[in-house]
Amino acid sequence: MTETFVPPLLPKSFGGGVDPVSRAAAERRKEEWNAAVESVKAQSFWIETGKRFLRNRTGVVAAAIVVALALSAIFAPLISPYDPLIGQPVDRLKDIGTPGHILGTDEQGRDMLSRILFGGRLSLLAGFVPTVAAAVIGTLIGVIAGMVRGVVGTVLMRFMDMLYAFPAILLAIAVGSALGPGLTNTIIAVTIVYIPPVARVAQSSTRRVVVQEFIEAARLSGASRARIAWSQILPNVLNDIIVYASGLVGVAMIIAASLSFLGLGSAPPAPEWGYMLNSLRGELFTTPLVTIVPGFFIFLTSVAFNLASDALREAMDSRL
Amino acid sequence: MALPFDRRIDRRALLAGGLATAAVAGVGLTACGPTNSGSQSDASATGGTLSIAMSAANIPFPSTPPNQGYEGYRFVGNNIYDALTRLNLDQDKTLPVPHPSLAEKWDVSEDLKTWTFTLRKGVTFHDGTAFNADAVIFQLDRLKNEKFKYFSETDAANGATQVRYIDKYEAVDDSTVKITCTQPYAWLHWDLLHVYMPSPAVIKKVGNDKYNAHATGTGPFKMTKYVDGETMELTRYDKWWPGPVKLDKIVLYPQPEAASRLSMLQSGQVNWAEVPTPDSIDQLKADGDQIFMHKYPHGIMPRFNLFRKPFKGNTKLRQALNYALDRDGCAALINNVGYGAKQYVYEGHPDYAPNNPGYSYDVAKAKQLLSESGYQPGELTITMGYTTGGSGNMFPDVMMQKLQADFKAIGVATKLVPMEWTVLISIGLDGLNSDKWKNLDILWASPAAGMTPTGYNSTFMSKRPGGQANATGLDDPVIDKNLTLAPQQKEEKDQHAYLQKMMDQAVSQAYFLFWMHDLNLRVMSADVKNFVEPQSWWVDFSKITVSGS
Amino acid sequence: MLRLIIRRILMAVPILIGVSIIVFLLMSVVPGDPEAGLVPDDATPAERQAIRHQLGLDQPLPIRYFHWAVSALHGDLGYSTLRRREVSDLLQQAWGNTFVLAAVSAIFGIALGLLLGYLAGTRRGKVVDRVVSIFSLGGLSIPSFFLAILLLGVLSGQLRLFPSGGATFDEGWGVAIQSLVLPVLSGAMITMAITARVTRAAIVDVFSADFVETLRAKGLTEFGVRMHVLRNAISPVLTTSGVQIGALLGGSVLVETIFRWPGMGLLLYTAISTRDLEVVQGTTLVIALTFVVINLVVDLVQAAIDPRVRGAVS
Repeated sequence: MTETFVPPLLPKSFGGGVDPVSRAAAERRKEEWNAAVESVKAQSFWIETGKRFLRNRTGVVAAAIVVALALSAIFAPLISPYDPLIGQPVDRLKDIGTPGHILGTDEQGRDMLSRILFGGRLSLLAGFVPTVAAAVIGTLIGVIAGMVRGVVGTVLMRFMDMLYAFPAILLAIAVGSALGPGLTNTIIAVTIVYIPPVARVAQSSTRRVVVQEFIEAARLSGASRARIAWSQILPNVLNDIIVYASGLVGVAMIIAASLSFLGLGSAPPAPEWGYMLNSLRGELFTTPLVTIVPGFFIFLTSVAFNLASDALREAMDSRL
Repeated sequence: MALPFDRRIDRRALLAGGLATAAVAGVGLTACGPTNSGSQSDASATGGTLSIAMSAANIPFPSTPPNQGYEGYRFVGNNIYDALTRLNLDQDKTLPVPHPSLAEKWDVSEDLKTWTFTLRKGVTFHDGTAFNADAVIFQLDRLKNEKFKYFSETDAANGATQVRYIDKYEAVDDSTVKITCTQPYAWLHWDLLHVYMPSPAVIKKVGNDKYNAHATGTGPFKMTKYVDGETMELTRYDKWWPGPVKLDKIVLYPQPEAASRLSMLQSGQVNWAEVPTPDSIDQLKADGDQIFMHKYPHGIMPRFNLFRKPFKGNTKLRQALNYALDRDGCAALINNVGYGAKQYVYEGHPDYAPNNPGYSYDVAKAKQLLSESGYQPGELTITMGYTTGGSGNMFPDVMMQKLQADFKAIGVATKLVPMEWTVLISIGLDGLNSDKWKNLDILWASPAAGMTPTGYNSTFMSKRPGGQANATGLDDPVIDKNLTLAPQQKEEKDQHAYLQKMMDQAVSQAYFLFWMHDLNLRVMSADVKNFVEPQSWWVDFSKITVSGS
Repeated sequence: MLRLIIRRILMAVPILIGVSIIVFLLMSVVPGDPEAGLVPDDATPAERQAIRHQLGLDQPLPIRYFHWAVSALHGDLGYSTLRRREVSDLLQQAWGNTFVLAAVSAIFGIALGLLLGYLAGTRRGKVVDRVVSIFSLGGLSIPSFFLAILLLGVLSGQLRLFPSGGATFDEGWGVAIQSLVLPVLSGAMITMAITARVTRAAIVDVFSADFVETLRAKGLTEFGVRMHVLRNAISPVLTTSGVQIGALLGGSVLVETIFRWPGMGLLLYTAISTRDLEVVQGTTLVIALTFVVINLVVDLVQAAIDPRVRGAVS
């Protein structure tokens, strides 16, 4: 099919005839029509979703917070009051609200606000990249495994089991020794940790969807597997995936913190929030407020991501 | 928040009150009052139970030698076992030196090669068997004689340093052992501090592989409970040869996390915690706990890679970096639980070079030396490997960030490479000239600097035992000469004189970053009495008591 | 059904082989040597070689793997020279500790998560929903080690309500339960949060489905409707619960370190960081097996609850 296909407005008849040639043409027109309807459905679904999302006030606010966090991270060099890496020992552990240090100072006497701003660059990456990467890869694997039964599906899911059982710490150490210390290790390790559970959630909801009537209907109408996956299964599966994965953004930052606890992950003095939280843990009972600052920003990011994703999920659910 | 009653709340008492009651009552816990278990009432009569939160990640296993480094010797080895010699750890005035223990006395031949030990009579192991010359030979065979039936590959490997200079050994009679050294060697009694004497009868019965579960020595405490990973209980041995110690029991818990050790102390589960979080000192003092800090042979002395540029043959560059270190600032960051180092050993140590001022914090001088060394600010980036964990490493993360800032201030960039403790040790074995590690310019080191004179060898000598080059390429004829001559001197005074010359040279040539000395922070609850913090990694438990409520 | 179970258990074999080979390879490429913990810092090359020989490290990699695999097939997981204990012995101790903690954490976390998720889902948009949402997001946003240190410091260190750690089972049930409280609170938070979120979403999802209206129209009581909803919502909850239980049974090195609860997480972490190959292999094997079994159980339960899925379980 070389020419651009314009779906006819009224599909009452695909034409016909008694001769095999015109019958074949009519048959072809029917197929083209069906495909076009599917494609319009799929397109309008995503557009509608966008419209509905914008009507959700909480979702918009949450998305705005995410954007604000991202912008403040991007423009950190312009708005930071101090160098995030240099501190004065005499200024260490100043409490929140200290003049000149609105968020206090850390155990090295560095300005917390500046570190939070600069740290946002690393932490947003640490939270976002593994989640998105794993969501994409995991969903792909899960949907395939859920749709294609038999050897392929089985092998995929058993491979996921294998990955699951794999010690993330060993992975972080191995990646770290190959790439040198830094946040990249954390991101790679967390991505690999995230793929199997996402795949499993995706596979499970795919299976749930696959057996429902409308899929059967789509299949009978001659839609291809890929088309069914895109227009019927994915929207349904994404519902579950978005709920699951949006919670993972915060967790990814937490894992980054946990890896620092074990001496893996970010290399100092990088002001990544998880690393900051970890290195302040000893001061929890000396200057509790300052200690909690990086934790609060992880929380804020996590909440914003989740609320935004809740809104997205609801927007996608046309039944609501 | 200290509560004005006995800290040692018995958990059963708590439970008797009921979980819910306890939770609701909150501070009303005082109702639980003094504890009720049998050992508690005994405690006031005798020495009580000392519970310790160690900083090691696991209970050191009670082999001969134990593992977990000097923490293993401190808490497990020295308590279960005696060696032929023992440090005088019951004082804090001088660096502890070997004193008679299972060896009552010893004679050293004129050429310093043959040592004759007279063993103490009437000493028995915890299993009741007698300690004698055969037991000494048995243990030396376990460590040295590969053909011996009870030779232990792992103990021999682990303890190789301590028997390295022993050539031959024989039992002259039941209470005399003669040891011949491979060379004139005045420090054998230092090595033998580490060679614990286990009961041959027990080893013959259970074998080497299962020995740890049955560890038996002649020391002040018997091992009465050992759960790997969880706890060890040491109970007073009433027939210890100098007379029984005061304490009834020592209970050990491993806890690598400082914040948890602090909670263990505050909750009363232990009355002794190693290295709590430095910033908690004020709070602990206010709670009425005892804070102990004392100089001892432990420092952070990073080693330059002397195999290649930029540090090979560039004394001025090494000196520049030493002048760049703001040691007082670093001490402030760790709440002064350590202090700036002038030399490899602390001032007051017998090997401290008396007329060498070391390196002050002098940015101008550092910059000047840097440019004289052939580098302009901004030209040099160095890579430094350091460990993130392992007990006895002070506070690497905080300190390394300070070092990075200090070097940046004179125009030298530092790439920090955090690594696991195992990796750091592996590098020490492989050497910085091996392909795997040659990208490192400076290597973190946390030596027990000067605890024993025998400890300098592997760090300072140009050749390590077996002929390998020094791990960081240190190769200085003045150091080699002095360190070779020191153990060939009969008088301690002369030994120290040579070691001082060695130190003087090492400091002048700036072979290390002379950075921080540790102050051995530990905290104990008020009921621990008669503890003396010695100038050592090891401590003396024999006089400690824990007063009951 | 029985054939299915047998097939899935047989399928575990290639998984275990795959995991063990990758672990073996990774352990051999990460820097740092196992003998570092066994020899002094001035060890001669000969002394080092002797201990490497004793550990079998001087053999080529495939041969080492083959030896290990053959022994493992015979049920012998080897001896840890670094710990001086049999690997099976270490595993038994660690798995026991972890199992107790994981079981209690799973029950607590999943039950609370279900309850909160149900409340939020059935009262969508109301205050309860918001509170649950923030609470569960909080649970996801606090690192377990941070929460653990906080709980330990306040509830044990300051208020002395609970012991400051230790897996204590030999002093009776009371003490055992007490020492479980803090590690469970710290470890079950994520499970609780995830379960609550997934449950809420599933319930919202099902409530909005057409059949609920149909049921109501048919005159079913509100209780009956809710039971239907729960049954239909259970599938995603089950899946994530399986994931969570699996994770809990793998142990958490952070919680285990802070509360001195020597389980699988700590065993694995210590073994990895000391390059104790036999222990790493044994531990991963057990964890992999646990995952396989849990996934199988989840699939079976799902099939039992939801007849539509039954055909799809393969």
